[in-house]
Amino acid sequence: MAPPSKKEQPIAILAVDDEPGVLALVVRCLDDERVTLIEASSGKHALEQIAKRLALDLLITDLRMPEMEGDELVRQVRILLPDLKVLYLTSHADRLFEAKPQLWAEEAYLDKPFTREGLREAVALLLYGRTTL
Amino acid sequence: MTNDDKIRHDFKNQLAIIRGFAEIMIAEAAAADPRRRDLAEIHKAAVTALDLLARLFPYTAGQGEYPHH
Repeated sequence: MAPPSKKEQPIAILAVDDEPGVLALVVRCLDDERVTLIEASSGKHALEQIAKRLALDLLITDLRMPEMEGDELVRQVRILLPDLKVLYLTSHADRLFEAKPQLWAEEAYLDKPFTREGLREAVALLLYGRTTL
Repeated sequence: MTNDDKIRHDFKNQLAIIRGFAEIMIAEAAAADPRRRDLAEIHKAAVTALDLLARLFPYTAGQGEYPHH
């Protein structure tokens, strides 16, 4: 029997934002029966979630958060999951590049405010290299 | 990031949430649903407010750290 296509495989995503409304919007935008979305309200909370569950396909994180910013979260996550794909959500891409002059191959960013289609396309591009989930 | 920058950042987030959910509700509303026009007004107002915010407070790079709570 042929293995299931990528389209049929479940996707585990951890979304991190200190603004509950943005987190709720991310959840709504990615509402899909194949997607398991785990929410975290801070970098510390995200690391706790990752310690419980290492099988992740994608981390979506706000860049600017109090206590631990998105790029620092990713630096710590990479110790455990060096190949994890990461999508930064940022209002100011130039700030991302101040903090992180070069993105890894498995990383991308999306400007806030984002649309549902924009977010779904960014996730699909990172996970599958195509524009639809 | 100064305290004013944080307020702008948070205000922009709130407008983005309104815009984002309005967009989803419009997309999911039936074509004949009379609330589509109301939702379109909410969406348009959020887009306009985001544009006004960007014009009122253009971003200046290198403004430092996010204030810690």
